[in-house]
Amino acid sequence: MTPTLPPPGPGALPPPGPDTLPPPGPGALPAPTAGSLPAASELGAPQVASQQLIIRVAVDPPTGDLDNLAVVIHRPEGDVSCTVDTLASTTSADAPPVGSLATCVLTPAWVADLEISGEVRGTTQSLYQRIVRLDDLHGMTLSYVIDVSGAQPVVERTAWSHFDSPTDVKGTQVALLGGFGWGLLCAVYVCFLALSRKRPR
Amino acid sequence: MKGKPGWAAQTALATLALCVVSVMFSWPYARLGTDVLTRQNDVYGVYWLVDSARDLLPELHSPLTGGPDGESFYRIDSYVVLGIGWLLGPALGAHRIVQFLVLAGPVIGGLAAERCAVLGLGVRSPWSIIAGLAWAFPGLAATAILDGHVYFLLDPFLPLLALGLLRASGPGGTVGDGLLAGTALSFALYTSGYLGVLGAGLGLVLGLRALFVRADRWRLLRPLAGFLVGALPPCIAFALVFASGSGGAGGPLATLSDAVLTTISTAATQAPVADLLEHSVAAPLGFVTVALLCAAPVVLRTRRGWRTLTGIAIAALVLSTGLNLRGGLGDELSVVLPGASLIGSAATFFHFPVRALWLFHLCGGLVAAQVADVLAAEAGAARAAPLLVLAGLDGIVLNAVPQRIESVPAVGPAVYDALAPGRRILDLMPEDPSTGQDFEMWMRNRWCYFQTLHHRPVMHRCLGAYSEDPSEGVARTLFDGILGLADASPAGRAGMARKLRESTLATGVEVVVVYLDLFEPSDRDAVLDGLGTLAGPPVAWSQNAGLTVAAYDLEAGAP
Repeated sequence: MTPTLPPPGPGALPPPGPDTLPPPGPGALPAPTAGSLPAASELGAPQVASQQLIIRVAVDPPTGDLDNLAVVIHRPEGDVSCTVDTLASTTSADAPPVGSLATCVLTPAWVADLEISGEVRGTTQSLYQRIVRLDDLHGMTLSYVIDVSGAQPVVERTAWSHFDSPTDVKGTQVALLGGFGWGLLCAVYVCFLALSRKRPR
Repeated sequence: MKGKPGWAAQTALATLALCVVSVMFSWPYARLGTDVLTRQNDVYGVYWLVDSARDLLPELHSPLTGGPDGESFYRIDSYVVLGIGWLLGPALGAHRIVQFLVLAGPVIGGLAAERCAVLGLGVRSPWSIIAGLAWAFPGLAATAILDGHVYFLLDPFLPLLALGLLRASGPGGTVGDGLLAGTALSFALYTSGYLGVLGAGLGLVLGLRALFVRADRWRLLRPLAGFLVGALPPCIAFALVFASGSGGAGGPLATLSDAVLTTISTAATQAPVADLLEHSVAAPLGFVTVALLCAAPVVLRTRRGWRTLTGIAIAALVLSTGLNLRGGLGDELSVVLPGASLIGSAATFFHFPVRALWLFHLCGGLVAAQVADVLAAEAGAARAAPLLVLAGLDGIVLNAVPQRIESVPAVGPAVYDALAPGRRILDLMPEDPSTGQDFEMWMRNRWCYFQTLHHRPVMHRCLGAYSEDPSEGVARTLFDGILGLADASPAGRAGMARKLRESTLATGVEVVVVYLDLFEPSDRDAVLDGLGTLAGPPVAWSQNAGLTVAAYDLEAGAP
């Protein structure tokens, strides 16, 4: 089975040529980029201290036994096993096949050398969506897919995340400083006007 | 004494100032280009509403969305925009109407606020322009452009309501003043339910104030009669229509902390993270307004008419925080203010308490204009003149809309054009099992926008909470079935495919349009294989608008 996009049928559009695909612009959906993770520096994590990074692994099992599911994140200092705590509620036949199955709570220092090579062990036959979602507390959400259909797990960015620009921590700081600076200017000027009034007799 | 030319000159000056700031505030809208200009996804819904207005009225029912039964529209965001779409849509098109809302809306609303300052509070021109600027270009206006709720930008109604109330509650209040207030309240309600509620609050406070302050209370009866005539019939009609519908915003929130609130950071300025994570909801108050408001107790000490407005502004600001003072933009500071538990459960009905800030901008702007007027009189007009420049730049500097806005080509997948008209389409994308609905909202708003281009019936809805959309279940069942085909034995595969095809056709789906870029590669192959088994080869596919899309005709194709 090598199902690729079949040739256009009768009455169909001609195959798209190189001219039909517009250059990537704002609003256009980015194509999936297999195996590409952002550099750790993009996350801006080193500037954020004493916060935790939460990784959620969510799967969508239409059928299948996931009792043996385990999620392990490899890192240079050693592996981190994620607790899998909501499995029962999502493997029930009646339950909607949606849910966060594993949660890893890590410290932000680890983000500096972020290198996910996820491993989802167990019944993988029926898993068709495997998403690792990173929520860091300084306001960034990234989504990843771990493809475990092959012998080696492959981590890739999901195509649909429109949160995929890096959090610009510096930009936030600059905006806040600039805003308050502007506010200070306005306040000082109004004070100047108030003080330079000719008091009514 | 000012004559008619003076009034005309004042209005012309205010209009010019507001036009200049509007162009700078919402640039590149003034280029009148063909791209969709926004940052998030809700503007696509406005495009759809304007484009579909002729189909929706008078039954408030869409035959082209929501599957075979269509979709009812008793709880739309803005009946005013629906009316504009019905009146002007065929002539101008949705794109021009959105441009009109963004560019001209703040000018019209700002002029109304400026006139309110002049006629309601006696502020002299040009200082009255500060009230117009504060109302027309606050952070909420930037959010309306970037998040897409552009109907908020055409709101002269709250300022006219304030004008009517101020005049009606004064010594010479007439039936006409009351009628103006009542009619303006009705239009505010039909612009947005939030504005209607805020207008009702404004009317209640100013009405009660007049009742307590005035010795000759019986004289209020005439303006009150005018107000009731202007407000009651439309508001009752609105309530009846709203009550006869269902769905909409998705019901009360679980807790107030789930609501969109004003935080310390977002009240000060915008920041990149607001666009990344907060749907571009940053609502800077405007430092000129805040500074002048802070100076009011000193500058206006001996004058009348500003304390109630200042109180309303402060109350609106506090309510917009949900009585939970938070740092925002990643800061973990959170201080629950006294009284939060009292309003907490009631306030969860409102998903966007931050919108109470509209009242802050109106009342705060009016008081700011009063302060500027007195400062100019007492410190010298030349010395105070930079205030006007600062007020004009305030919204531009703090919101940086041109820097944040994105330009999206106004095209959809070409595959739709290859489909026969009238065929009902199920758009298919992978489920996002994460807890939020951002991806679903984004894509479904895009689909609604695509429908304004292809005008074919679709299964999904274009209003309300997506969890309530029946097409969700249809898509999920089809998706599960398609993937199940991959695991089926060759002998059982044909039977499964036939049953799946029949059950899908029974829901009203005739064509499945699948968005291939969104799938993880192995899933994409499985979906293509399964749909091929179900419906034969795709009847069309396209690769444009940044999307690879294939269409399968369930009726034409045979397994």
